[in-house]
Amino acid sequence: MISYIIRRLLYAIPILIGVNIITFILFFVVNSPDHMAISQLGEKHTTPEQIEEWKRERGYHLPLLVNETETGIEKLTETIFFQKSIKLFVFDFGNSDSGRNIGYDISNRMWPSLAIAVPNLILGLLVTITLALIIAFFRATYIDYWAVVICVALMSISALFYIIGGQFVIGKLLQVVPISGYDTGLEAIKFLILPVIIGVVGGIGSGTRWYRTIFLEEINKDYVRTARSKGLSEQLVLFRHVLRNALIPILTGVVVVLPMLFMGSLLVESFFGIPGLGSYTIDAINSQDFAIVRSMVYLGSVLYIIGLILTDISYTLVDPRIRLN
Amino acid sequence: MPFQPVILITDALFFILTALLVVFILFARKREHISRPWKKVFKRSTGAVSLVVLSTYYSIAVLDSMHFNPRLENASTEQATYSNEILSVLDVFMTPMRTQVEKTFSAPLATHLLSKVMVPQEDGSMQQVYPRLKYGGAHLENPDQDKLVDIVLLVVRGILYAAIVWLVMWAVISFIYSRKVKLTISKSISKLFSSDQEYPVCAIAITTGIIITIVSVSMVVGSYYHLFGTDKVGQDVFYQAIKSIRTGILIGTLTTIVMLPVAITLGAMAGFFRGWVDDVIQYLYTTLNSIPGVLLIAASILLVQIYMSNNEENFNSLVERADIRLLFLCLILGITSWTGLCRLLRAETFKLREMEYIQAATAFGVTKFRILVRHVMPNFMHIVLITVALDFSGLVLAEAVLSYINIGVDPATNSWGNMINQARLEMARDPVVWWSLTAAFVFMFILVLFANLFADVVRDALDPRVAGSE
Amino acid sequence: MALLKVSNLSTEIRLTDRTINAVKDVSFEVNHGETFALVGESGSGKSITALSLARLLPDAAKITHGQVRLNDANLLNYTEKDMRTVRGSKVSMIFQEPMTSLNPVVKIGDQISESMIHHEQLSKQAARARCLDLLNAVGLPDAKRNMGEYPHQLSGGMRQRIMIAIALAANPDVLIADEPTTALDVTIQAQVLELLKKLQEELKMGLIFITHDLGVVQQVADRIAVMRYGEIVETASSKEFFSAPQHPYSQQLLNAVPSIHKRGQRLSINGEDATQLNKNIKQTPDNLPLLDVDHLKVHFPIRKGIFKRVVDHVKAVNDVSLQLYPGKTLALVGESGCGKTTVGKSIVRLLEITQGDMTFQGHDLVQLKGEELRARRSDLQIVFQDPYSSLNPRMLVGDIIEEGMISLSVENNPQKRKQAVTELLQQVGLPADSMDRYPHEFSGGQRQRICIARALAVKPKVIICDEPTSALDVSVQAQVLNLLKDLQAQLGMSYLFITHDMSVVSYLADEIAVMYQGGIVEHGDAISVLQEPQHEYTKKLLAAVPKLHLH
Repeated sequence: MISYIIRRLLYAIPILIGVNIITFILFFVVNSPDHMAISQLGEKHTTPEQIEEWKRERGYHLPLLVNETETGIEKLTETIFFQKSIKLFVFDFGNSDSGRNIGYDISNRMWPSLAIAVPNLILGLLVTITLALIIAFFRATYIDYWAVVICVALMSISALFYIIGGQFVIGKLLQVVPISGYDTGLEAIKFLILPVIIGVVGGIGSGTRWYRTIFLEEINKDYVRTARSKGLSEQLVLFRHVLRNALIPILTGVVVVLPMLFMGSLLVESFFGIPGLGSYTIDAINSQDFAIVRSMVYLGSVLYIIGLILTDISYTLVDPRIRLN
Repeated sequence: MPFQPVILITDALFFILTALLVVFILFARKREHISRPWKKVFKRSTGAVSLVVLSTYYSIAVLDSMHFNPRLENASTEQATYSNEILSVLDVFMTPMRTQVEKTFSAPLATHLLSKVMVPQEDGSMQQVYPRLKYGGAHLENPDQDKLVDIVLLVVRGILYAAIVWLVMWAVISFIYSRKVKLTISKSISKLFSSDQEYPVCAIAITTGIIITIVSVSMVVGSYYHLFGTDKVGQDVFYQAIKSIRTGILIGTLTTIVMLPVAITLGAMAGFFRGWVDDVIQYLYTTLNSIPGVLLIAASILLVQIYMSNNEENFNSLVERADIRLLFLCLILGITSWTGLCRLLRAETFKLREMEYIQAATAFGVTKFRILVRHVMPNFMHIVLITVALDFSGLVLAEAVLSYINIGVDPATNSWGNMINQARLEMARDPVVWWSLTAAFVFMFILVLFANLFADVVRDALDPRVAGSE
Repeated sequence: MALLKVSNLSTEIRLTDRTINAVKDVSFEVNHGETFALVGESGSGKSITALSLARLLPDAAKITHGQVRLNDANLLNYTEKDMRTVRGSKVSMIFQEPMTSLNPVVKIGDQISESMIHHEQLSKQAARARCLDLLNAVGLPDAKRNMGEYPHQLSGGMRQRIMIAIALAANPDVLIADEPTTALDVTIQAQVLELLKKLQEELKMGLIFITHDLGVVQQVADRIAVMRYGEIVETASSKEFFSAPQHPYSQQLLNAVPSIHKRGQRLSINGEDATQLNKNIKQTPDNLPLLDVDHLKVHFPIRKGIFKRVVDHVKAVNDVSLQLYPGKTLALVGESGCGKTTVGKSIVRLLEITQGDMTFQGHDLVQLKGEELRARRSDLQIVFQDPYSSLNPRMLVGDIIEEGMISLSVENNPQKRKQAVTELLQQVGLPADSMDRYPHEFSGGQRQRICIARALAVKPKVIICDEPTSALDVSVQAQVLNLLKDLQAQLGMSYLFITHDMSVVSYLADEIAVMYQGGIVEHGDAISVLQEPQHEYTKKLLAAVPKLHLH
């Protein structure tokens, strides 16, 4: 087991190197820092001196891979690749193009993101799994048929509609909760209600349908027939036998997204003005702050890989077939 | 020539895709094992109805992809001169809606602008009034009294046209059918629409009826009124929503053909050769997959933007520029989305590799390349088709979200995402300007809904696992 | 009074495009302490009948009419709730596949005690004690440990014993066993059958035994009903049935079973008389082996640890030597997992060989690579077990048969190739227009003929037959066996016949090699191995085979 985890961790290293190289190529090779400077400073009336200064302030004046002007190890360290890409490995994100410390911003902004994402995930799971169980109970009836049609209709609605519509109806017309904003401490709750509700409702369609498929796949297996042949009631069959097996794919599917919760939701956060990592990313994209985008790409990859590793580990913990082999 | 054809890059790709589709249909028609599951799709009423709706969207996209420069009206010169404006065949059909631009916002079917404007009166004083629209309901003498009757009459006229078209259409179908089954016309009509007919003819007839009616009514009413009102700069919202169809369909389809060759080749190779080939391909897609998709798209689009602003001289017109950006978006979406299919195909090839017919082929000394092409690929094509169908709706929805973050299509391109993006701030106005949002959401919802339903039916019919359990 | 009386039971399966009458007007009785066997080939409706009795049908199937009277109460009139009190406590079932029939994530002890707690409101402790007794009764040596284990930790035979324990947990009156031993090896099958018999006598249950295997039927059944196309064609006592079957279909079934007594004859199909096979095999003057396998070893590495180092090997084939002579059939016999299929695949070089020599007509096979290997491939061909997965569903039958001829350049002229395909199809008894059709249009037996035609197309001298008939019904098996014999007589090929089925071996083989745990334990002339087995394992194997005695 431990050697398995170590192996998975070792496997993560080349992937992170790959991510680093891809982002390096995207951000510094395909487009040179000069391009960035020009687009930041405005195309016209920029003198080469201004560009040079802009680059120097942000450390983009260094050569890409090899610094011929330095000697010794600094030949390699005084380069963009080392300063901007290698340092990511130790989570040294440096400063954003507007001069703020990215690491500090991230550690501050992940809490509001979690404050939305965690209740959203938990409530969403509860609602969708319950609905899916009910539909599975009524499988092959008209209830099932129409429930699936409704799910398909719900998942055909754009996420933007849920957000704009929810904000309009609940926030503006009914004025139950504030439309947007954020506060510290318990005061934050009233700002979280609407985004969480919208997040849960928006996920009902696809979630319910997905879990229904998992349940039905299990229900058609032979062991369920065995359970019925013992004379167990349908509820007992569903809860004791089907749910227990279906929880394995459900749980591992949840584990894989757990680390990604830190990243926050781009849409919800920016619509509701919540100062999390999602809106941080969007703001960075809109102001073309490549330093932040690059840091978020790296952070996202790390979290994704952690998710993969956690999934593998959770499989071995939950499934006796893997645990005991 | 009254026009000069223009073929944008996305047009060309879209026509190639359409041609491939036609070739596939002709190919499948003769091969019973390929056409059998598809017949099952058409026999389900959900499948048939979805297909009719989707084909309507698709035909609009095709019409909107036939671009040209109109000839300028100056008879004096011998040499024909063409306008720089790029129009499509669809624009020709929708000329009134395209050209009748108001000053600013107006509500659906309105005759007056949304907000009051200071207008000099006859006596020289200024007064706050709702000015009449230049085009919307301009033919009415007394809009307050006559508008309702006028609209009803227009709707009736639209329905009448629709009825005629529908009847002619089904008369032709019935005639062809009667020749096929060799019965009298009346007998074959009752047979065609009977409940034991193999295909859901009634459902198809009703759907076509509804679609023709909607098209006809909106064409008739739309030439006198603004069906979905106008936006900030007075453009007809209905026209925008219709023009956005091409963008949605293109994103949903071109992305797929961009990624398919890569996903199929790499997936098949990884599963078939295993060993280091598998390791490399797996590494490749895990790495790409680990980069958050939105961020990769954002980074790439930002870079494209910077590139384009630095090389502006390479693009002849705004349309061409927007077109290149659309193509880039498809490419980038393709790069972020091939990994899922690749993984599925790798797993399937893994399974197929152990199938006895592939072992038998090996025992015959058939080359590995030939085994891949003849034995492996045809047997995972159903997964490819199911994935394409399932991905389509997701891509249409993704376009809207990406445009909202300003990393989608060019702001000059008509797209539902851009409509939503431009309109969402107007929700805070009083009175609320809801029609742009609504139009975009409705058109997008219908496309995505039927694409989802169709994908479901396709999966049921093509997936041997699902089909077997029924 | 009969314990269970079924009258005019009809069940249909509603598919999206059609309805199948799976069970038609079936009537029979089962008495206390009696074993009633329901026999039939695949698709005869025997399993659907069984599921109808316990009302455990899949969603698409519905009982349309009839009665199932248990102790004179009609189960079909019961509400679903009442029916639950019957299932498990009065009517219990055992299913064919013990692996999938047990819940993989619930401990065995819980799976057994569940129905006791449910039906008899036993306390956890009491249920646990009963559970231990039961596990002892079904012959699990370490019952205490097994209760805390999960199904995947046990072998197939043990899992089926656990299924039996579950079925007996609440002392049922009727036990329905649906092909309970089909997935098991023959030695395990013998143990399970014995166990069932013993428990039935102790508990005085009525046992409904559903199977396709006539040998098993003769061993366990008191009375027999033969099903075909959803109907019972004959019901008789075991003794009457095997001495004088009345219905032509019953006679056909019995005649189609291969056995040592039918050696040298064609198996009779559709009631025609058995005819002698004309053996005019070209005898080679010198008796040199065609194929000589010498000390073959095939090992698969086991990788473990951080860097996936090879820590050990699975010795799938460990030191196998055998010789195949021209025009002869060598049967490679063994139970599942003994490595017999690995031997077959190694000979046609589908698997890498770890060690050992193989020669074909004195030419080395092991070192062949690239073009040389391709050239040699036409001499050695293979026919696989599963007729469904051995034909590419996306290719025309003609193209399938042609493929080898093209690839191995056996016939390069397209015209002549087409001619050859027509002849091959004729040779295996399929119409010539088959070449323009797709595999899904053919039945299992027909598909196996196509596979044989495909192998024949490259004119091989040796065909490895890897369980070619074990997925087929007995009457179809008879046809394929006849075909194989006819082809051997005509073309003089040699067969390496890999199988677990002793009745096929005894009918077909000239020589027998018995495999056990990767090695060959006994090798010799067929008759002598069958009648005077030397090795312990061979003796055990032969003793376990249910033999069909016809009076």
